[in-house]
Amino acid sequence: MNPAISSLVWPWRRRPEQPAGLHLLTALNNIHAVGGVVIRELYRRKDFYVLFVLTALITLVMGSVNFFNEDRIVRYLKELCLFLIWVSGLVIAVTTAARQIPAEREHRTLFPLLAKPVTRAQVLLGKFWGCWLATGLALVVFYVFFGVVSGLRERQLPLDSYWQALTLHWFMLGVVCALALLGSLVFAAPSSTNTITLVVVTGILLLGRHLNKVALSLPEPWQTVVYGLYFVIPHLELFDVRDLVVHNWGAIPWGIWLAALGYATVYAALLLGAACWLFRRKTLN
Amino acid sequence: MRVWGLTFGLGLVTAFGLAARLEPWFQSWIGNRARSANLLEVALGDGRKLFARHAYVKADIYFHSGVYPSIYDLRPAQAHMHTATATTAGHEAEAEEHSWLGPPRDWLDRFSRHFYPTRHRHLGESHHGHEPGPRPQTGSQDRSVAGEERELLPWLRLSASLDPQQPQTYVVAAFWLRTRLHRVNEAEQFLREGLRANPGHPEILFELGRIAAEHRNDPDRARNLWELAARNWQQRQGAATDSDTLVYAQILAHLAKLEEDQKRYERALEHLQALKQISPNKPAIERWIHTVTQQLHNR
Repeated sequence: MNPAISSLVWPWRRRPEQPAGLHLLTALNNIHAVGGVVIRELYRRKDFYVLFVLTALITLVMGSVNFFNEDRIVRYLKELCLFLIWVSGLVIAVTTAARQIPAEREHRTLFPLLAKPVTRAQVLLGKFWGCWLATGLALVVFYVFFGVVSGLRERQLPLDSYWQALTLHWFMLGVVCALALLGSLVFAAPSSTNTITLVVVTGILLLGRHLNKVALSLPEPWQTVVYGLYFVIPHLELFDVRDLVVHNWGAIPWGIWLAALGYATVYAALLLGAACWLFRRKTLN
Repeated sequence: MRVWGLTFGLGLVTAFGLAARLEPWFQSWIGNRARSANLLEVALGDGRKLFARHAYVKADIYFHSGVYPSIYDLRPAQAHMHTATATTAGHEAEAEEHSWLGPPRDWLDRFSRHFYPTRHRHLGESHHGHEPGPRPQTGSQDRSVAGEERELLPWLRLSASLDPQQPQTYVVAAFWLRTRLHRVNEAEQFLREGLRANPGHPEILFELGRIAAEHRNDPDRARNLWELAARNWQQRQGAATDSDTLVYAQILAHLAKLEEDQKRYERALEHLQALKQISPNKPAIERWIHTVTQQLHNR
């Protein structure tokens, strides 16, 4: 049996000689340790800084434009800033997640990593955890900037709405990270993973909500196929509450917010499960 | 070596000659973008007019607080952009237009409606949190949120920069500036900018006249502007549409009211007679003519 494959066990599958509680703790420690490396990588690379500076610069320049001597016009600025945050968030999440496994293979650091008492699934979950945390940290910085800019102009700070927007965005990026990790195991190079993931995510964001309407206008059997697709795809556009934030619609009910987070968790788990299964079967050398 | 030198020299002379010949032509060429100080015009050329409509629609989307049909939704047959015309009184009837969303088609559709604006609301009307689903039938008007209409202005400004030959943009922006935001000077300045881009346009002249009459208390100037607007409208009558006829009717009605207030009843009657020809509500105009005639006899 291939030794690289034999090192894979499910992250929480206990070895016979190990107590159950200790095993779970070890697995979580391993995952967190692998994730820590990804976070350090984020603040060593320039991607985040470049995107943040660009977002801040464009927002501030647009904010300095005078429209009919009205100094409290803010919604166009909120829309622009949130759009830039969404683009930046997507770029950070996809590029960070898509390069993790290929980089480990290319630099041949995956074998020493797997030689330690770390399973393949733990490596993959650690990578996901790191990417998700890293995008979360980046989002916090972006949303703090957004809150400061809109708060200064609007003279109000609806923290509940902003918190919901941030968390929904973060969980959505969790699904995107899982999708990019899965893609990195399927496609040959990070560039193709980046492109395909971005195309799929953008397609879902633009069309996902309307797929049912499109399906109803089609003849059978395409109607069933497209309607089926509508239910199968992860509806990432659900997490896009920018219009509610821009036009001050107030917070959505907390139960609905929680259900949306659960929806994202289920899809992220499914995609990660598929990625673990693929990684388990993948020949590394 | 000498051949190369001569060739290089010939090339230089040819280049200089061509530059000297083409430069004056380029400076006077109508398609020379470098003549404009407008960055958008230099960057996009005439293509900017494609985006002007988008910016104008964006203003309408902002007016409805983000509630707007997408290209996948069924638009009602009588849907129109009414950024300039919506009033509180017309709110109820207009809410009917927003049936494009329809009932939820499935559980996912129902769930997703919590994440984008679905309730009809205009800028300047308050709201009580995000409540998805159909609008309540009670029709209770919320307290006014003063000045929210300012959020339209960036898009209207952008639309005017992209396509200065759209008089509607100037008129709509001026309407909100003077009526809700009380920025009469800015409204007048913007209308004058529109008048420079659209010389003699009746609608812009009419709006300038309203500023003179309603905000500057200058009836003589208002009369001059409206009379000029009426003359210009008559000259352009060949290309008139229904909305243009409405503008002409408004000009005549305002002129008649102004002359009546100034006790120049003969002039008022002339305008009312002209208005009667085009008005769909002839009995009301006849009653008005009757009132003015009585005032003329009593003088």
